[in-house]
Amino acid sequence: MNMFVLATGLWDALPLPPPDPLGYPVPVELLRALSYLTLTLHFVALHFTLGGVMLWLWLRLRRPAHADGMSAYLGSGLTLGFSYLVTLGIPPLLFVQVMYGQLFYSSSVIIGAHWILVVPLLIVAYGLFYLHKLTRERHPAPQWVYMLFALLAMLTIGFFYVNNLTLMQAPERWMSIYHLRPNGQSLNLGDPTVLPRWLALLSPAPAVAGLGLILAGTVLRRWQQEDKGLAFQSLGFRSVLVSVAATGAFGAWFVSRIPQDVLTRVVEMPLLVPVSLAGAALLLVTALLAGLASRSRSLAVPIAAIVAAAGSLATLVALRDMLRLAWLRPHFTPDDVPVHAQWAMFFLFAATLVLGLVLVVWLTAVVTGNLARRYREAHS
Amino acid sequence: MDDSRRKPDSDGPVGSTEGTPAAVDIPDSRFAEIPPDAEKVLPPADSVAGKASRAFLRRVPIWPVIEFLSHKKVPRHKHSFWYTLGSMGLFFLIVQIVTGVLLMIYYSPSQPWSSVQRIVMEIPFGGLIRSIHHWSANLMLLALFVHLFSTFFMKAYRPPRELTWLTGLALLGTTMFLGFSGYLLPWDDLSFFATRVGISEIEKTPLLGTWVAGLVRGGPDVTVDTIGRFYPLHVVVLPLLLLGILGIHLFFVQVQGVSEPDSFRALTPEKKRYHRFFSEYLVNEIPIWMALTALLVALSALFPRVLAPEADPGAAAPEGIKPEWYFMVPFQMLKLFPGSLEFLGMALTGLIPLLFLVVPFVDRTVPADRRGRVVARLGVGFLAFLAGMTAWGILS
Amino acid sequence: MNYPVWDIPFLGAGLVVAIIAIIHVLISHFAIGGGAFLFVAELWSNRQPDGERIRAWLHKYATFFLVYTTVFGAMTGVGIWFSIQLASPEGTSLLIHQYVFAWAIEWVMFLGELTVLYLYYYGWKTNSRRLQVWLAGLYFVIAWGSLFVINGILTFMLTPGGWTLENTDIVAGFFNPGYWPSLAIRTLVMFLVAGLGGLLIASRMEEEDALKERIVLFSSRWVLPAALLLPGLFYWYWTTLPVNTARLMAAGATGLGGGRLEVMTLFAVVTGVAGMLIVLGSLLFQARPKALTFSAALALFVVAQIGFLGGEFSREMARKPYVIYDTLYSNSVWKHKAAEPGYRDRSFLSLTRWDPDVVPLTPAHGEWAFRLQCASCHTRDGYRGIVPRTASWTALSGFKWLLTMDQQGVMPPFVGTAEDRAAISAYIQSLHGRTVSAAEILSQARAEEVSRSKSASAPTREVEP
Repeated sequence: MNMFVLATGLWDALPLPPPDPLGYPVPVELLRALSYLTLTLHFVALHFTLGGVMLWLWLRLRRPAHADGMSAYLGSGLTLGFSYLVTLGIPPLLFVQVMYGQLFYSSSVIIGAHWILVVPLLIVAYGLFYLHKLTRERHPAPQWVYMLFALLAMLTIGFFYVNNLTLMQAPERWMSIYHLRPNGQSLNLGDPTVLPRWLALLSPAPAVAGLGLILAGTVLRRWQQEDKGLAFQSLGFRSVLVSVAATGAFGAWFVSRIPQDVLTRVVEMPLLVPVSLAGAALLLVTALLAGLASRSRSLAVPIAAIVAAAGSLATLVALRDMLRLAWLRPHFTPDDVPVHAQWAMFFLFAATLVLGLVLVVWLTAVVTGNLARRYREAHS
Repeated sequence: MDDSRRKPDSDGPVGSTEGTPAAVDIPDSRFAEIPPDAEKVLPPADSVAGKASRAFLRRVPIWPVIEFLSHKKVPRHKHSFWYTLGSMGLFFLIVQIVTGVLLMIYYSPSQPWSSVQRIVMEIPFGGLIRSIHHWSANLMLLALFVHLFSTFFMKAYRPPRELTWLTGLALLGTTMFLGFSGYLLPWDDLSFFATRVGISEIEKTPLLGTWVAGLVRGGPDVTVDTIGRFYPLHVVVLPLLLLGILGIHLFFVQVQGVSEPDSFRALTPEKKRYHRFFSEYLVNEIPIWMALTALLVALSALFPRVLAPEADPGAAAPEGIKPEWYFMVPFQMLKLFPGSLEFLGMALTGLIPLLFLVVPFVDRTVPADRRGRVVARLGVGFLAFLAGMTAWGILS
Repeated sequence: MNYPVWDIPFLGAGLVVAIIAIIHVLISHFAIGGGAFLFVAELWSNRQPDGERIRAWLHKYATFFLVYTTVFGAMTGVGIWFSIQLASPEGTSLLIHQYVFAWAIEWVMFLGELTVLYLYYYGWKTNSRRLQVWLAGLYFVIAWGSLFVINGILTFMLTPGGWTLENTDIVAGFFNPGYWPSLAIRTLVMFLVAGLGGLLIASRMEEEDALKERIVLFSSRWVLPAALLLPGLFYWYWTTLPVNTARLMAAGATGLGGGRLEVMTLFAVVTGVAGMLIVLGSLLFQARPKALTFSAALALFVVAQIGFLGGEFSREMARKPYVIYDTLYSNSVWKHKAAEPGYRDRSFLSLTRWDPDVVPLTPAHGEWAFRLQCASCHTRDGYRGIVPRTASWTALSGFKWLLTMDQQGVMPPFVGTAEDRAAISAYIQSLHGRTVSAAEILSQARAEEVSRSKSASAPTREVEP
């Protein structure tokens, strides 16, 4: 590829595809709300699973008291956690394609060879979690190998996601990267925000897994297993603290790498300050409640902590989107896209969702009630 | 003619019909007897099937064979799957014969390329039959190589099965020549140059090389005369040879029974589980043949055999011309020993079949002793070597 | 045109979709049919004296089912979604924006079926018999619901029915002509695969176990509805195919240009052969149920996988030259734009966004025009490779052929000027190792045209003495 072609490529018009001619099916605010809600839930499941693996490996390394019990709890949650993280990841991915499709598809193709690797990596991680679940009694020795590879797979998936979503908002980089490798073997490593963003994305994981431990610990204490319950709560609280600190540090590093012009546009956004303040407040509340949990056997405390954590994740999700909108402002705003409403379809979906949720929540209550009763009978 | 039936004053050779004595139930030696244990198993004598089967057995007294075969059993253990490899080879052979005959209907050795082009372009499903023939050839050789190594590692060559092993090797060699001879028949670029290169390698053998190569080629170069030789070789001589040796090979397997690995032999009699070959084992083998059928059709759809442009003997050989994968090992070996080292390369290549031939005479003890274990380990190394050479040849 | 092309050597983006999709369909059909299997087996076990033993076996089936369908099935389903957005961003964007809420409804089904499956499986020992039966049945209904939805989107691509880009009639597009036969076919095939799965798990049972015979017979009966009804249903499906597709398939096993056009028919033959083999195989197992081994049951599963390979390949190829029929060509050229007068004679690279600034008629021009117009379907020397297909091309013959490439009904019309054609033809020659300059091709073509027009007017002169 000669320099003449490359050089002139830099001054090309941006290869930004037009938005899909079919437009948006409902007003963009509704799409945004749905995407924030589902992405938050996805992050909760993701961080619970990822944090579970991280803590499992840490427990294997340090082996504090009741490590086996905590590992068993964390390990059993992985298959379900992974299943729901993938399932809950579908709607946000769907909505990102509706709202920003022309950007997302372009960046996906540019990093295509890596993007498609997400699929086998998902199978590897998921398969390893089942392997762990089905063989941990009979063959305890190699379990840490499975967990390590599953962790690496999940971290890699996250890395590819971060590359895609940062490249998506930077159309000025597209041509040069694509022309270098039209076979999709590039990444977005030239962007200085990629590494800190990835680390900041991973950091909340120990917190959510830790909150799961705290909840389990509280339940154990209610079932008269005091020592074990306290150990769960203690490790959970420490994980929350480490996680919050890491998220803060990596988050600050990430913000410092954002280009000045983008920062200027972000600061202009009206909701930036209230959302950031809410996020900080919820984070503080989460940490406080996590610490409080060890002083009581009330389920309300850990549950409130989880809700607060979910809330702070929700503010993170909102801030993330604000950043994206600011980054994209010179090239694209969703307000430019016409709305060709499909209200009938939307209400059909909403009705199905409500019906579905009611059904599964009710059935889950019934079945977990049975299971909990059985567990108590077995362990009392 | 039985004398007791003839009256002293008989009218002629047939005998008169007047006043015959009371009928005596004397068995007619024109017909064989039905053995008593056959009677137990055959359908009732008054049914259609019963009458037909008894009529057949009286004329063709093969009940001892049927009885013998009904006892044929196959051991069941965790390596039982490998027993199917040999029959996979047989399955592919049957496919080759059927598709081969169909191709013969339209193939013309005096117009090789255009007749194959007609098969592929005009004859309904001609391309499919041709592709199946090609894929079945390759899969047959693959199955036979796997069969070779699985019988090797199960040590099925040990006494009394040395001849089974040797005939098996002969079968493999014959099949490879079937592949080589068939490859030329379409007379396209690929087949012409691959054959020419292949025979020129044979030519390098000292002493007899030139003569053998000339005999094979029908002259100093590959021409239509070569097809004149390869075609009867491919459709008559080698198939007959193959079927003959196969008959001997299968005869031995029937008469000696399926070989049992050491771990199975060591079990107590109650623990040894078998499947009866007729019906139980076959019921499980037929689905595997079905999977192979589906695989052949799918491969023919996914990767149809392409007909390259007609061979132009005057042109230069295409770059990187290579033989098919099953000849890759000798091809690579000879490439490794260029120039004056050629002889060494040839000697080493010739050593490979020799090593296989002597195995049953080196490792004879049941159960395997130390020598047996060494042979097995050498076999692993050898398999890795062959696979590696083949892969190297294909990828380079 | 609007998006970059994922130019993977040897495989091609389309084959990546195919590989992931073919793995997925076997598992997804098993996932839904298996739900019905579990439901019916639960009911059956309740009426048997050794119901507990049957349920113990059913737990093994359910464990295999759980891991196989969630780990491999669900992930490859996501994989299809990932790969189609890479292979055809424009087409995927159309589907997403048109059917986002259909997909959202399908997602509710996924959420529901997963949760119910977990409740069924993890509550195995603690749930009441009645609850288990209900959960199994509910799982099947919800899972079938996800088929109900995705079937609409999938069949829409081949037979959009009353939907057009102008009227965007969602309902007409969703319940299109191919919808109902496809739904029926897939449902029956799901039962068939569920039965094969049952055979697979049953084959691990001890031969001496009397229960094995009954379970093998129970499982093999699931093949029956498909065996009886599929031929008729496939005929019904055939009648809904686009006219061009039916014509191509009927043209059968002979064809033009190296015999590639019969591939669609060949894949249909693969499916037919696989189907017949499965029916025969299940009959065999019914004859000797106790002897069933794992390799035999697995062999039938492999045949089913091959059957899916044939069917899905055939179905995908049936859409040629479109990715959304009558609307968007496979190389992302919009049909309505290509039909506009003068559109197709514009410089191709002026219409795309992703080409670098190339000097016209250079090798780079040819390479990028090929990549952005042809590479979404053709690799160079890999799958559907352009090199074997142009073996007999000369630079000039290729240049001329490009103008006619849509005449066989499997390719889109060429978009671009004579310069574009010359550049692409020169590029293709370079793939064969022959260097020809595009400018040379152009001047050759022009010279030929001039001499042809001269000879066309010549006879009138010769009449003069």
